[in-house]
Amino acid sequence: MSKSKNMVYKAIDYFIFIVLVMLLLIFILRPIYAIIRTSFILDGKFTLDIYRNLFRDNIRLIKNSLFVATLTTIISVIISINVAIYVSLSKGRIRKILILLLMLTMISPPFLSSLAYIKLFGRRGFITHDILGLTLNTYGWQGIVSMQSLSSSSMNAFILTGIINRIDKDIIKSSLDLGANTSYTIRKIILPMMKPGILNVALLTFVRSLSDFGTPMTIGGAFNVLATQAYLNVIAYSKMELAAAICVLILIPAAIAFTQYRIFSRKNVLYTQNTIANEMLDEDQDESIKPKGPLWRFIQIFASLFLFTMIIQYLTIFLTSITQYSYGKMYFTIEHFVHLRKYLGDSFIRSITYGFITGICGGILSFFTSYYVEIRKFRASRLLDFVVTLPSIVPGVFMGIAYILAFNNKPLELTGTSAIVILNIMFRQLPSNTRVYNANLSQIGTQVADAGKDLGAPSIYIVKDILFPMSKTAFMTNFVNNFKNTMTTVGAIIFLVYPGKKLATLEMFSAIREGKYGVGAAASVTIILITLTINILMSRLIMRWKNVR
Amino acid sequence: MFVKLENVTKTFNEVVAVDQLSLEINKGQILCLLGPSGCGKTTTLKSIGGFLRIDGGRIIIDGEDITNMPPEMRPTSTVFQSYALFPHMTVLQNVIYGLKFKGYSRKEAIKKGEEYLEIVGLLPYRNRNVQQLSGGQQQRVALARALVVTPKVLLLDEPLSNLDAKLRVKMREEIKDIQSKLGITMIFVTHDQEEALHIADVIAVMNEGKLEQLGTPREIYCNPKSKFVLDFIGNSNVIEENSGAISFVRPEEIIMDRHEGNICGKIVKKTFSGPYISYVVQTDNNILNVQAQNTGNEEFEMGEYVYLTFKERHIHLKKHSSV
Repeated sequence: MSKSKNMVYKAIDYFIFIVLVMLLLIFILRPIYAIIRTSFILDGKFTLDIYRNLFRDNIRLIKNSLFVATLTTIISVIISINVAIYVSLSKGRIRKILILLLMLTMISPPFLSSLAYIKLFGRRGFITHDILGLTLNTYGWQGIVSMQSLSSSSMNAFILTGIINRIDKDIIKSSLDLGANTSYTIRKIILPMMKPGILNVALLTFVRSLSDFGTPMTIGGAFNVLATQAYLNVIAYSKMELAAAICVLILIPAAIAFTQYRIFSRKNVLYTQNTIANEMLDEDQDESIKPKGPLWRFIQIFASLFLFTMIIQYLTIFLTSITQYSYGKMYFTIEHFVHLRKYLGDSFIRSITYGFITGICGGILSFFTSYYVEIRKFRASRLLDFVVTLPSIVPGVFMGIAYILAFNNKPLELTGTSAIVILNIMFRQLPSNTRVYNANLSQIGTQVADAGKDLGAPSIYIVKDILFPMSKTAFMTNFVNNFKNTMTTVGAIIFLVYPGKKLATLEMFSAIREGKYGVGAAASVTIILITLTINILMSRLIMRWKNVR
Repeated sequence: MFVKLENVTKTFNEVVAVDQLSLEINKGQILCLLGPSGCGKTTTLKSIGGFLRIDGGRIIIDGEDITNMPPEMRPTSTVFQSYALFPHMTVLQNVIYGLKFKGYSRKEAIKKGEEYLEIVGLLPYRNRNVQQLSGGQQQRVALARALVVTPKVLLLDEPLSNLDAKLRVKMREEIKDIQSKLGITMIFVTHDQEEALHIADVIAVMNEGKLEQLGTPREIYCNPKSKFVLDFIGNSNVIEENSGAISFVRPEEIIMDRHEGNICGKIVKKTFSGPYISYVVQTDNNILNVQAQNTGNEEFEMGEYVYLTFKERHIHLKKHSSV
């Protein structure tokens, strides 16, 4: 190959790398810097007053938040441990249904459980009002805790199931083989091996609860929490510095959770819901493990109750979307969907479009990130790796507010544009996307890349001919995840979306806030159907690729 | 000298993987880097291929110093242990991949690729996806892919370690055949001494990053220069001489007879291994391993007293030079 051609290739290589680093600096570090800075600066001077005021004026909210988060964490961890053990050790139809429902929650929009709660236990709730004849005020911390626990439990059960699955099944078998019964094996083998995972799940739940403003706003009634305050400070009162300080506060437990995760996983753990779910469905449980005994009974009952609750929840949403009350009578209608089409069609189309853009652009971005960090491994790659993981540490609200603060003036005035929303989703997804690529590339990538180099291929050819085509399954997995995220996310983008450019989840949020529960439910069902369709289509494609191999 | 390593040194976090290694081979020879795991043989190979940057020394191929060249510019190509085939490409696409960067047109590349697939006997498989091939076939694709770019030196990193025993023997024959057909220089890493003895023109026995001995298979086997090489290559009976030197005799170099011989001993163990039978014989001073051909005629029994004669006895090692 000629020298000059080689120079050109090198230049392209450097160019891509520099662009990548700049993107990471601008869209990850800059917003985080902006939000932290805002929380310490009043009238251009450094001060701790904002925090002082925060603690003085909002001590009740802080207590509320900690109370709800702690309770939610405990309940959710207990539920998810039981469900995860059940899913991992049982076989048969109930297990399959449970896994499918868990997968369904992964693609469901937030507030779905809150909506179900309102319909069942609210002032006019089906159970409280229609069956029991009560008119209760059930809005308060009880509702928040139950709904946060329920929705966290699915996610947690997923993660924990993944962890149990990684335990060598022969370890469990040998415990049984050595004469231990199921209860003893669960207590002495499975639970201890899950411990780091449980701790991580607990920390994540805690952070998620702290930063959730949607649930308290829909079913909290008069019960207020810190995250709601942050939301209102931005949306209603424009007190950015206070909102920033609240976010920085929530960052502390989040950083602890992250550190623990890093120590425990050494970044090998893949929390990709898709892969875990597929593994779980594919692999039929080993015939030789036959769990029994009182502890197993307990787990079974627990998991069944959870399953029952989930079914009720989805049934409620589905029925709400196709029924209407009139003079105390319920009748079927498609009116909610008609309303959706008429008034909110644009938002759905926008959501889908954004979903495709984040799916494709996010895939490319994370591919190059993974390539430079994992395959090329240069001196500063660890530092770069850390920057890439930052978005997974900070809660959604944090990143949303951070983006407003970072991009509200020149030279990068992005507030109000579609770009800021898409960029936000993309960079928030970057850590998990990159992990998918890393897992894919680090297995065979390094040696295959070496082989390419050995045969005389310049770096950009190795990327173009070998690594990119080789990792198309990872690309699709990321595409599906990003699409799903765009369809269901609220936390970060609620601050970034302008009224004229709403997304589907935000319309759903407004509908619930305005008491249009039927429309909210119809929106939920539609979001689930769209996401499900894309999921199934892409999974088919991935399966086909795998079979061709 | 066609390939020359001069004081090549490579350290990883202060652990010396290759220590002042120097060796030379001629054009068209097969060099085997042989040694236990962790002896630095793969590190040496990767340094020659350019995948590792050495900390000291020089690597020269065909008179050209390639020490600081990136892998894509070096006149070497590698058959990787995992084959590192491009999983999304067909057999032919894999093989001709490197030709693109040598300025071949697509048509010429295909012609040349098919020529090499013919050599490794895979031409009928050219449009298969590489993942549909068996281990031995994948190995051949890797070989063809590395050969087609006509490297000055072909590097093979434990290429046969993923194959089963029978296929391993077959493939090493094929590699030797291909080598003699094309006259290419090869450097072959293995931890399997039998493989090395079989395939190599020159063996470099390595231990803890250092070269223990460089020589033909016969030299290495018959005249080991150190205790390490003696222990590592083949089985042997070490006998301490009165002079203080150590001599050794290979188990197959001992003749066993019921009536005549130099030393008398008792058979304390007998193991049937198919083509030969191994005995352990207790003499007055020693315990000796003896290997007898399984001719189907004469066998000795446990507890029997026998006479032993050493066909050959190698006295090379001074006692103090050992260990």
